Amino acid sequence: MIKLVSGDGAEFEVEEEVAFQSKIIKDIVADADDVIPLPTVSSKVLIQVIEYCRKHAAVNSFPLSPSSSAAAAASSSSSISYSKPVSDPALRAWDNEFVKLNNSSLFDIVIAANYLDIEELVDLVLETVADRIKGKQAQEIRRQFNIENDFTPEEEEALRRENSWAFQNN
Amino acid sequence: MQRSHLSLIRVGGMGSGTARCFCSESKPCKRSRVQFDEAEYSGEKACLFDCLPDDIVLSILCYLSASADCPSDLVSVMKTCKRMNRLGKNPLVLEKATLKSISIRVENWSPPAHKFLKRCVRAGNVEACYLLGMIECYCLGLRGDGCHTHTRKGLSYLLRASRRGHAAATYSLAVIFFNGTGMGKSQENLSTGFSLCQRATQLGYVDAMRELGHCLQDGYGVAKDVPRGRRLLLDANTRELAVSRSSRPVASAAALPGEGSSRSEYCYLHSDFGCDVPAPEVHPANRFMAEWFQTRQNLGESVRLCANANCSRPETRRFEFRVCSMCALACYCSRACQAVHWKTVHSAACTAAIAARRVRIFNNALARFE
Repeated sequence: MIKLVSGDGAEFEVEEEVAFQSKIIKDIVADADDVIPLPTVSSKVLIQVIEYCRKHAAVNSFPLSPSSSAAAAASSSSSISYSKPVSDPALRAWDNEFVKLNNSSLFDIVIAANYLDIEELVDLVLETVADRIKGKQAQEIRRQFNIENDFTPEEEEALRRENSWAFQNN
Repeated sequence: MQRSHLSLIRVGGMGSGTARCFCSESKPCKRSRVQFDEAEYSGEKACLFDCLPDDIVLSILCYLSASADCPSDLVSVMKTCKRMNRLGKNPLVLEKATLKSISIRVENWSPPAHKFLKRCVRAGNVEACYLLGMIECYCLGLRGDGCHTHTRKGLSYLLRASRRGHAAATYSLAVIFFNGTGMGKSQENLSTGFSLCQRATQLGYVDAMRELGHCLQDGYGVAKDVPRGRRLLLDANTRELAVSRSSRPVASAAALPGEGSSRSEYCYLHSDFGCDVPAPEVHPANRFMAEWFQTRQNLGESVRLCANANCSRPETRRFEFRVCSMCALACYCSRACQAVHWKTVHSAACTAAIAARRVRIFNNALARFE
């Protein structure tokens, strides 16, 4: 068992294979003791990250069935995808449920996952954020992510003129 | 607006690209609250992206450009703030941009759109190389002022795409060499065209397979080999079916059991043998050419286009293209386009054209007789 201590002092005991979803923890455990302080991660975020790691550790410990891996190979060859697809459809569905959070929670998770070096979780969250940006007007995106418009009116007008090709009749 | 009470600090020694939020005040960071009301949140606090380092925001934009369905998806986010505008122009993002996100319609064509495509080309986006190559070669290159800069530029873009394994670009180069496009009749280079066509065939491009099959059947640019030509045409049709099946997985997979296991079981005979496949979606480059010359024709310029609507390549000099030997009205950039057009549309239209001409001749004769 490995003990993780969150930034607000809460302690979480997790199994090795769950904690080792994070490459950083794996490295730390290799040359240190089993109590790992994570000062930048709040307990609420850590609970969610551990939930994700627990699920993925459980699924990854079983080898893939040949049919599903063949299907994954077929789908990856036919369509060019930027992300590595999660091969198991059940896990994919679970992931989709997992990311049904508001934007700020997602950003907290991605910061923690990036810090802990859990590649799959970072990819999952970033893909979700990209999906939420897609198909929206600039004003909507600003509102959704609290982006401050730091263009001067002149710059904005120039930008509008420069990019008008992307908007007409689409 | 209260802003940037969050600052970004890179944490050394804890792996690459890690960052965390720090609050200048002693009170707990509001952002760490998991439960909050999004409406209450908006407009009050700092930008959510402020606490992410550039490389993470870049990854988000890469995901976005790799899955964008239209040009406005990427451009909208670049219009939100200066940082997004800067990161959105990063070659990493532009390189992954999908064909859909760079397909520009003719009515929107403008110097900034041209500049955007050039930027994508510089970033190494293969689809952009092909699209801009076709536009430069056929649309911008066709000015008739003896200046070949656009044609030359277009050729270099197509070459770049072809070198990186873009099948359509390789086939387009083959057509260019077969016809001596943008150059004189003396510049036709059948053997180069043939080898490019062969390469596009190896990449699995249906039009190239069909063209190569007809080349072999007719002995055009290569020694005549009818059986091999026939086999290639058959391959082209099988491939065509496979492509049309895989591009519509929802509709066809449900109808046919055993999807993916053996496609050959459901090998219908199609376009060359009587059209069982739905017409493929027109590539944005071909759609651009068709619309470009449509608007030019409305302005009174007459350019002959390849009659195959999925192609629409224009002639770059008089009598560059071959014509239908029956009606001498439809012209084609290649044997492949002629074969497909004949099976799909022209076999009906051509006989109609002949019939109409017969009636006209008959009427003329009748008028003279009377």
